[in-house]
Amino acid sequence: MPKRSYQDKLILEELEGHIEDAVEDLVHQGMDEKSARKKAHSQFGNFESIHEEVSAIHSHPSWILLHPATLCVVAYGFVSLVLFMWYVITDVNGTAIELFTLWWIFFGIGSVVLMVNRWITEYLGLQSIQVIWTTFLFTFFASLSLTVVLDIDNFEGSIHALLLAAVLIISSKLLWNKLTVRWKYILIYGFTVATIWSSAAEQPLFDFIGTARCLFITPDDIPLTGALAYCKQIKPFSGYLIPIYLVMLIGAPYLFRFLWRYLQSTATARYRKMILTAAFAAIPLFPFFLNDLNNYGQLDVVKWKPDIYEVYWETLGRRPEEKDILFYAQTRAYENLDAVREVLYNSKERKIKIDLIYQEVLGRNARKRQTQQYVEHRTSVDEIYNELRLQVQNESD
Amino acid sequence: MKINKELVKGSSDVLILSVLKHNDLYGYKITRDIQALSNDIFTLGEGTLYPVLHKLEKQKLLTSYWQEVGGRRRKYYSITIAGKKMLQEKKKEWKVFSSAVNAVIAI
Repeated sequence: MPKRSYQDKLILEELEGHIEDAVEDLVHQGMDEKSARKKAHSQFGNFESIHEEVSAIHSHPSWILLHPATLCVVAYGFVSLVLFMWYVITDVNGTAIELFTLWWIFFGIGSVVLMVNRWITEYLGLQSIQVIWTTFLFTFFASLSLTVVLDIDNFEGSIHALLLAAVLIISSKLLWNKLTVRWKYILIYGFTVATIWSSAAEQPLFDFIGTARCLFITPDDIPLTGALAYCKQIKPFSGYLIPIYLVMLIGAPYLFRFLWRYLQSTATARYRKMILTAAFAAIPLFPFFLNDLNNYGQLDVVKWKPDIYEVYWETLGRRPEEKDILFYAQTRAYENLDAVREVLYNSKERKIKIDLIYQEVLGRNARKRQTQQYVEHRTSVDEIYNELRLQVQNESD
Repeated sequence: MKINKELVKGSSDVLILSVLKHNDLYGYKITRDIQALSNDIFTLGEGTLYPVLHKLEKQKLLTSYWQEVGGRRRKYYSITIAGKKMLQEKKKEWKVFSSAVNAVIAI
């Protein structure tokens, strides 16, 4: 039997469906099923010839009408290349590859979720209200998975995603049949993009309404201090998390039931079944893999590195060491760099550094009052050095 | 009264676009609706229906989606804005054409 393309399978499903409709109609009119089937086939005419004619219409697609999944991959590759080059050209602090990898991971996850949602939409059909449940659930689970990857303790973004889903589901349930095909797609894809962006950017969706409370699970009861002082400490079984647990309990079997039916479908391409199964399996497995990669939150600190480097150059005249970066990853002190700057300006290391500069340029240590003035005026190490060099030059002139 | 098949075939675009103007329908229902609306005068054969549907879809005059009904899926067709514009043009064209034919055969 010749291997059929995905498009071909869809055409076959449609034509065979037509015959089944005719059979049902004839049976409904009082004919027995065998005669009805025979009559439906004879009424339909030459099945193979119609099938060939319809297939021929789709056999020469214009190159510009690429499948959205292909377009997505092409766009992704192009943007990746541009960003990679940009990072390399502007790489002052040596974090280009890390930043690029971080972006690649998040954009990759977003693209996969969009692609899977498109396939779910194609399979269930836009008229079905089930399509909203399924796409929203898949997106929510993917976003929850990203939340765990990014920050194992902060679940506020996921609660916001559930709120948005509830609002959209209630309104779309009332309006779904009145929406055009375009608006139905906008609703599904809009929710997907907003939710995944919210997790990747650690920006809760309804942050604009009020200051985020930053729900933090700390099973070991470590007090939240410093940059995390404004966060609310909660237990793993706190009431705040009940909506998430409920959706997980009801949603997981629902999604797996959908996957099972999708895998049973004969009109679905094999590669789609494989990718969809992998995507469903990745949701629970992904956090374990990336959390290991993100050991001690080192993945989170990457995007803050340029700012941390700047503070270190300014106050101590050096790059931060690996142990410093690990400290920021673990404590999230990068969220409050003003306080860090204050601490470093007053640090013993800076005083020693100033003394070393004085020794090098003037041959003596800095006076206490002078050092204090540098702290008060926020004079960077480079500025101190340049100032002293200028002073010496003026004196010798 | 039997109508020449070629005559029906030539008008199939406008017939299909017309029945889809108010409702999204699947292939079998389209043929049944056309038959019922024309009091059994037009019978759009499957050999005509599906190539026309797919051609209109490719021309972006129709869009389609799948919907699960009773354990199996049906492909529904929906008219696009471009399809509605095309239908308007075809209707005008038909009025001009039919009045011209009427004028000639009335002699």
